[in-house]
Amino acid sequence: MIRQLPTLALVSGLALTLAACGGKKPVVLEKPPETTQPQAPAPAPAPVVQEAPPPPVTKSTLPGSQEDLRETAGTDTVLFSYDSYELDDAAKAILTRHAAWLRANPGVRITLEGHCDERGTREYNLALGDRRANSAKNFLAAQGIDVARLSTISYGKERPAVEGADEAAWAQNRRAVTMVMSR
Amino acid sequence: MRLIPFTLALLLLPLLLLPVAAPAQTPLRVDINAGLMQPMPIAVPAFAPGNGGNTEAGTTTAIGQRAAQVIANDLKSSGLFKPIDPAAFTTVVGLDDVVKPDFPAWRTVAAQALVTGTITANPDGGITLACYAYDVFAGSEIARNGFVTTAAGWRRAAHKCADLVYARLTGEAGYFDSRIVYVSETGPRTRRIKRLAIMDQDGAGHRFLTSGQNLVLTPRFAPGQQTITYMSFENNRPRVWLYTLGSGRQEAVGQFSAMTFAPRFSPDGQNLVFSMSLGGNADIYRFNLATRQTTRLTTGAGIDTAPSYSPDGSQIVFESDRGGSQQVYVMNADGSNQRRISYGEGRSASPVWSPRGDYIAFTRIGGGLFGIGVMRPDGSGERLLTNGYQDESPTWSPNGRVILFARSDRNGRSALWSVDISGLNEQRLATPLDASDPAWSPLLP
Amino acid sequence: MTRPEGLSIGAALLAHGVLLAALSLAWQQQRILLPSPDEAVAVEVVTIADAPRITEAPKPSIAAAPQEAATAPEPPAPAPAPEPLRADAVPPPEPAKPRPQPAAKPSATRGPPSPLDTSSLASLIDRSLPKAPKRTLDTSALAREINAAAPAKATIDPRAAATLAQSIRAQVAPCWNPPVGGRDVRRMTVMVRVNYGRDGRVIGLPQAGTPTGTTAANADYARAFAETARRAVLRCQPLKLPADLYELWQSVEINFDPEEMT
Repeated sequence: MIRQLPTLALVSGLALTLAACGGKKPVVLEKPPETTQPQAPAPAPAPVVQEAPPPPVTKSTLPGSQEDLRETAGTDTVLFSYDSYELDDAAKAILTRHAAWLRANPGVRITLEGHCDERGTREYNLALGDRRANSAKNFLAAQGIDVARLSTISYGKERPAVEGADEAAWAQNRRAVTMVMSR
Repeated sequence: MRLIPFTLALLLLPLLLLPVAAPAQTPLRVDINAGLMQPMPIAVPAFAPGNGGNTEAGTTTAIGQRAAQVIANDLKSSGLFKPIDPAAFTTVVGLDDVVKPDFPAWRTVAAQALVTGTITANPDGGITLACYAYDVFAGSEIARNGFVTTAAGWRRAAHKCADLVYARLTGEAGYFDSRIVYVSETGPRTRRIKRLAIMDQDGAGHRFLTSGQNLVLTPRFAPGQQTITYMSFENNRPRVWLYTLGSGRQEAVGQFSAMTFAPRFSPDGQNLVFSMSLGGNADIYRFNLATRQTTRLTTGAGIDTAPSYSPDGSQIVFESDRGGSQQVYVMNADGSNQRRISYGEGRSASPVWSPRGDYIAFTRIGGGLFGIGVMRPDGSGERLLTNGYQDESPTWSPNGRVILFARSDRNGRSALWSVDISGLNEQRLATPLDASDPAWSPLLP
Repeated sequence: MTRPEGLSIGAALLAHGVLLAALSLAWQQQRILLPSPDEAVAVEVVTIADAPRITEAPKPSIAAAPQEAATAPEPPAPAPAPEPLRADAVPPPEPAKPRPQPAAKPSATRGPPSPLDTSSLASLIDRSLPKAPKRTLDTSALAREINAAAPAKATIDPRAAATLAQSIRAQVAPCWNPPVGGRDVRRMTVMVRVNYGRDGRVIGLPQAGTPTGTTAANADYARAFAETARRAVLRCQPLKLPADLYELWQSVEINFDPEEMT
């Protein structure tokens, strides 16, 4: 997995493009999928920042890159409490900065990754991770980001951020990560 | 203790008199309502060579020795038998002894049952394994069968012999001639590499099915066992796939834009059930493999997942957090009549219907621990069989008597363990690497 | 994936032809890395004749086409490390606790010495029937008491019979190994009729009746269940019982009921 990162990144990118386009296609379902999904609690409409914070002149990172997002927004990750997919104030603040960064980088598309701690069963955590990813996605959409730029993926408990079997580790693993898709 | 009243006994006495010389007595009545739950000592001497043939799997003598080991190991692993150390045997079993065992000699080593047989090389290069079982104390034959297979098939023939003996002595179907597919794990937890792997029920014949390039989860056998459904993150599109044994063909199921996961076959093999998560809302769908029609079975905002059919295909057990936390629900196969059945403490998740229909195994989350439990299909009779830092993903042996599950520790190491339905005989099943998400096949055809 | 279905999907796939090519390349590579295992070899069940002696190799009744050898002959599996079986963690039905034996010692002041040297049931006389210790026999003085209570063969004191039954139970129960975990075990009981010789040995093969609760569905289990009862009788012999009461125990019906188990 790790050694094949370049290939993977390429394939991922292609796949996500495919996936994103697939989203516009009629889904081959007997019943059309519900489009009314549980929305994240409608965030208090944050004042839309007209201009993004100007990137520091000394910055060496590539604009629009993952590092750029991390540096600009402080983090690319929001955390959740146990078995929850609700965004707390800290998470909303971070995602608000992500939204601003996305407006400043209109060509960038992102994937919201949902993750869980290991204290849940495998199948349930896949669903819970998907809820978390969608919470973040819905928040960004409510901030005015075009949903065509946003996709989601759940990793359940399969890709923890840190090892460890205590609350400190679990807290870091219950997360949604805003991942910049390669262009 | 009940005794026939003496006067009544006197009255009955003439009736009970049998045409024998000895003065008959009213039989003394004895009630025994307790015994010892302990494994039955059983002797499995090396199978005798039926002829001096040689096969590509070795001489008939060598196969005879290995077959006996496989059989003894099978029986031992059930927890119901205690194979006697061959070093204690006082007799060597020749061809004559296979049909006319020296019962007194086997009694002296405390064997209650005896399994003998022969291995014969066939002209076509295959072998015949003849399997005999005896009740040592009654001095009688209780079962026999022959198994014709290829030389390489001697293991399966041995498992079938063990199944024959197990079934005859316990009265329940055997389960040794079966396989296990599971997820082999290696690497750090943050970058775990997962591969599908398959092996015989006793760990022999281990093979990897996928390379580890893609994250794979929750493999499950089709009833016909030539197909496995699983979930793969291939191309970063997490969804349900099919893997065909033999050809190695891999095929994504359907064309869904959303994540599909937690797949399982229907007992007739015609359908898959799985979850699909649309916008964060996971519901259960049925997918007809022939018509490719998808039918939605659950609705609502809760997470509905981990569906598993009843063996007759009429019902589906699944988990849902619609009531606030993960609990076990049952619905008819068409999605109607959904009802909660688990009311134990904590959460109840990943239910699996027993192949004999009498129990549902599940994962219990509570008190900071994960354990494996069973309950009746109506939710009654709940019993916890195991407890650990993280015991989850139960799967049933083909006869519904043993549950295999994954046990992880705080260091992220995971392995396969089994426990019988009484909560006894907990033991680890060795795998080359770490292991999770086991699925037990039905008995092989 | 490889089979586009639906026109819209097909069109989309066309549009992404290049992507697909790339993807299937990766896919193929994976398959090359891991040749799929063969399907399981076939095993055919055949009936075997009385004599297993096979001087010439029998013809398999089906043309067992030689399947591809899936595995090379393996070295003999290493003897599995003797694993402690969990069964010993199961508490025995009744702890074999020595119980107080008020009347166990032969009293010098009372009666003639017992003519029996085999065994004594005195210690097992339990005045609070039917709960009694399931314990193997102690020695000494019981027949005397039985004799006192039930002098000679003229009449049978129910208590004497009960005491004998208790002794038999104590001697046979440790040999009963009922199949646990069966679906219907709690509903089944089985009666075994045994004839004992004066030496306490079983004469002939004990006859086990049809267990209660036998149905077509559990007939195999019922048979196995009945055989465990018969086996218990055969394993735990000869019985040690007072010879002069032989007529009382020469024919015994033992009812095996696992109600207190599992």
